[in-house]
Amino acid sequence: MNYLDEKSIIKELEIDAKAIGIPAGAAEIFIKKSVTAAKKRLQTKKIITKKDLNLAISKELKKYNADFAYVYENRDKII
Amino acid sequence: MAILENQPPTCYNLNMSFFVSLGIVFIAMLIMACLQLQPGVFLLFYHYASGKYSKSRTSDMSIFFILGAETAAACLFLCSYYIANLLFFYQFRPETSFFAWVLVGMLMAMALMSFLCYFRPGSGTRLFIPRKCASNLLEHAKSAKSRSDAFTLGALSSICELPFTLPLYIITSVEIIEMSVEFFPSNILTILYIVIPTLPLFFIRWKFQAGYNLADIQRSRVKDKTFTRIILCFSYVTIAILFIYFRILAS
Repeated sequence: MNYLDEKSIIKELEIDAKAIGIPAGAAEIFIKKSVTAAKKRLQTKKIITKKDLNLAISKELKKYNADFAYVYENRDKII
Repeated sequence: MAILENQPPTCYNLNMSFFVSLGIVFIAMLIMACLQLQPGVFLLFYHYASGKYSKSRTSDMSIFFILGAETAAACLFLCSYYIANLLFFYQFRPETSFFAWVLVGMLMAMALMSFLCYFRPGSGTRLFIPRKCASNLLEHAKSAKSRSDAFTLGALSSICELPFTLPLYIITSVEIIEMSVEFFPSNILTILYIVIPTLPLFFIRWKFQAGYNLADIQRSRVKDKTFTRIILCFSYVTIAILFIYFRILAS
C-alpha cells in the first residue's frame, strides 16, 4: 500500500473512527478537515516521510478527538 | 525403625514435591499470561475487525482467534512434552542434569532479556521481536476477514511468542511428568496451562464489548510496561531457582 495515497489514508482513518465509536458523519468531517490541514502543513516540504505524514495527521486529529489521534499515532507501536 | 524404612515416601515428601511442581506450573502460567505479543496482536485484530464488520461478527471472529491461540499452545505443549521425555528419559534423573542446567540458563537469559529489552525503547509497547515479523502480524491483523483468518492469526501469534515460552513449555512438561500422582489428574493441569494464558485475551474482548477502545487499552498497557517487565523477570528467576533447588540439587 502506498502510504502517501490519500484514498487509502482516508479509508484507514474511517476504519479507525468506526472502531473507536465516532459517529460516521462526524468522522467524515474530522477526517476531511484533518487530511486537508495536514496536506497544507506538508506542502512546503520537499521530502515527505511516513513519520512526517503520521505526525501531521495526528496533530490535526488531536483538535477533534484525542482517542482518534492517539490510535493513529500509536498503531505501529503496539507490537 | 525397620518398619518405617520399608514404608512408601511420607506424605510430607510427596506433598512437598507435588506443591513445588504445582508452583512452577502456576508461575509459568503467570509468565505466559504476562507476555505481550498475543494481547497486542489481539488488540489490533479486534480494533480493525470492529472498524470493518458488525459487533456480532467481530465478537465471533475474536473467539476463533482465541481458539487458534489455544490450539497452537496445545500443539506446542505436546511437542515440548515429547522433547522433555526425550531429554529426561521419562523422568528427571541426575544423569540428565546437563539439560536441566541448559534450561535454567535459558530461563536466566529470559529473565535478563525481559527486564532489559522486552520492550523497545521509546513510547508505545513495541516488542523486541524482528520488525518484519511485527509488521507481518500487523498486516494480517488488518486484513483478517474470516474465522479461519482469525484462527490462523491466533495460532501465528502463539508461535511467534515461542522464543519466550519454549523453556517454560519444557519445564512445565517436566514438572507434569514429575507430578504423576494418582490422586491428581495432570490432564486438568495441562488444560489449565493452555487456557489460563489466554485469559488476558478474554479480558481484552470483554473490555472492547464494554465500550473501551484501542486507545484506552493501549494507554493502560503503556502505563504497566515497567510492572510487566519486573513481573516477568522476577517470575523467570523464581522458576529457575525452584528448579535448581528442588530438582537439580535434590536429585
